[in-house]
Amino acid sequence: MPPALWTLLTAAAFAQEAPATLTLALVTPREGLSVEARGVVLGEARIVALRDDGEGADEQAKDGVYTGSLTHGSARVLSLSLHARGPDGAEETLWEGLERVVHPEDRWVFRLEDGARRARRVAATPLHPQAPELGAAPTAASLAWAGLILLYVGTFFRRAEGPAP
Amino acid sequence: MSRVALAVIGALLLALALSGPAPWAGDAALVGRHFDLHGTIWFLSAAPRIDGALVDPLTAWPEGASLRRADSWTLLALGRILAGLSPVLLHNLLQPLAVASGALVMWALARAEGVSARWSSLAALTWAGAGLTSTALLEGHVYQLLNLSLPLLAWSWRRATAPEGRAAHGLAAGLCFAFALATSAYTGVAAAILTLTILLYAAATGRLRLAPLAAAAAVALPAGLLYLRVFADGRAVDGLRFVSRGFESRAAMLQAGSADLVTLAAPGPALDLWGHSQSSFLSPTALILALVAPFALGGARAWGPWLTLVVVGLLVSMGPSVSDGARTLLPLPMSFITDLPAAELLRFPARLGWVTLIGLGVLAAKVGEALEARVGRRAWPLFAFALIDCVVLGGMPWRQRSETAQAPSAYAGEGAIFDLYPESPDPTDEWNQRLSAYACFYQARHGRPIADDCVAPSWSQNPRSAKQAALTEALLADGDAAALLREWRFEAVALHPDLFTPGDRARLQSALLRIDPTPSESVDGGEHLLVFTLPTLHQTP
Repeated sequence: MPPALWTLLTAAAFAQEAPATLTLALVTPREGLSVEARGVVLGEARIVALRDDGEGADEQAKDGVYTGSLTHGSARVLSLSLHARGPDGAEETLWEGLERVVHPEDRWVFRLEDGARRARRVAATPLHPQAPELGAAPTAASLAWAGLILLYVGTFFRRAEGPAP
Repeated sequence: MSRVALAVIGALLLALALSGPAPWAGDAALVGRHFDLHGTIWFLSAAPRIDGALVDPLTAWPEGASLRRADSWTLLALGRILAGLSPVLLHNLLQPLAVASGALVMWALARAEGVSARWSSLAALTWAGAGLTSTALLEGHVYQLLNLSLPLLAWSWRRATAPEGRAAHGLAAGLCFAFALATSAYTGVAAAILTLTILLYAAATGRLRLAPLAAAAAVALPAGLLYLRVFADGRAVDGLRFVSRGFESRAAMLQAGSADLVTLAAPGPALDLWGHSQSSFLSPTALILALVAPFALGGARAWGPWLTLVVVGLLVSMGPSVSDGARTLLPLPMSFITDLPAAELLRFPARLGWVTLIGLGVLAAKVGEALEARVGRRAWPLFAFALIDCVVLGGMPWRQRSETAQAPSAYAGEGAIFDLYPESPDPTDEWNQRLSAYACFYQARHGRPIADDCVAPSWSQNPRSAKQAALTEALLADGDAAALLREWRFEAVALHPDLFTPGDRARLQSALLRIDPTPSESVDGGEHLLVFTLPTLHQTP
């Protein structure tokens, strides 16, 4: 979802040092995980629990989208790692690295496929673990739109070349 | 109100809408998505202090950085003329002004081609809503939007090759070419392609005239030679070493910077996250109108030169081959030059797409007007379609982002300061270049000399690269890091601790504490920063 115009404008106006909230989400078909994000934000070690129980930042329980939110004081870059503990209690590191922060940035979404050891950052938010990513949708939308315009413009020529009423 | 005044107001409103938060951000926020934005801000801040030898004494310390390979002399001139303004504020103001002036000049070009004021606005919309415009805004290349000389060049050549063409028109074309070259190297190459296309078309139709051609050459050739001389002195022709930038071949490097069948369509969210927002999006409405131009406009004289510009612009901006982003489908003329090392300088052929936009804008305006003559008001929805192209498909201003324009307060002080960042092994240099851009932006704010060469085209050519490796080794292996810093004439080290892994952070911090047990620390300006000062250097005469 694109940000609302007001959010966009005020994010710039208050970007100086205003606290910003970042939503972290892990989309996965794997069940029964305990997920947390660890990072150092402006010198402070932070741990954020990503939950799939419909509480807090999580919109819907048991939908395979683990969500948590991190409030930070206008950091430019975050050093972050994602960890998961399965039903057997073993901890896995799903993702680690640096990510740049821009405002207003609502969600960072990671996707962990079934059987994969590492999560990957995805650009658009998949609504469900089984839902396909956006991929070529913008291209398809553009082509469909061009087709509609062509049909519309085409009617001008048919009418002009037809017999006079 | 006159039509020109209406056009000015319309262009300004359109630019304000498309550039999003920039006009309102003042000095508080950097508006854009990618790290060239930080470099552009630094460039504006450095412009007033560049000496006659085009050296910036405060970067690439202590040698100083040569700006002979600077991308935009126009931006350099603007930075000098408007030296009293904050570079952040200047950049934020330039964004809407550049979009508005480009749209206005395209409107004027369509008017000069005989299109009515109303339909000429389609040319302005096609230009302002194009992917190249949004890319320049999002990537921080606002200077590429100061390319008014390209539509003016098209106008000059059209006049110069008309039966009433005079030497003065050729002179204007020569001046426009020189201004295009000063705007950016890519704009200069686009101007050369535009010139060749129009002249070849004129020659083919028997309209080439010698006097304007000679007048244009009298201005353009010396300007071009001077540019090449300065460019060559700056060792820009050394090339970018495609292998060191993670590409398997020079052709692959050129292809990655080219327009393809996917980037010509609407930009998707992945493009903003990983693709530097490099879109070659063209308005579908304008494309459809260009497609029907031969049917709507009749004789080839009305649409021939403009459609030729569209086709030639597409051929060059698609680089070595037609591609769908993943596979190459059809070789194009540029594939013949990929064996030349100098071809690496043309790393982003997509930026030559301005040639297409000029042809497309004028053609859309002409066809729109012709369709209105045919079907009356039923053609008016085309304006709405073009607006939808801009805002919905093109995605501006929704794709725009911002970040704090402050620098960490721990930078406050005097003397040269060495930024110590982690080094990424990623061969594309993405993070190394990004962190270098941050260091350069901070320099624009704190004003102290730094190790980075802010116009170095790659991390390996940045002098901080080798120095940072040596300093890190000295710090981690109990070497004499302080002696190294003294030798390089630095008086402080700025450690960016949060960006290192916990182990490296602890080891580096421990080693640096031996140099300065009481470092300055700040957590503002978007980063946690520790500044370790070498006390002995204060006594050096």
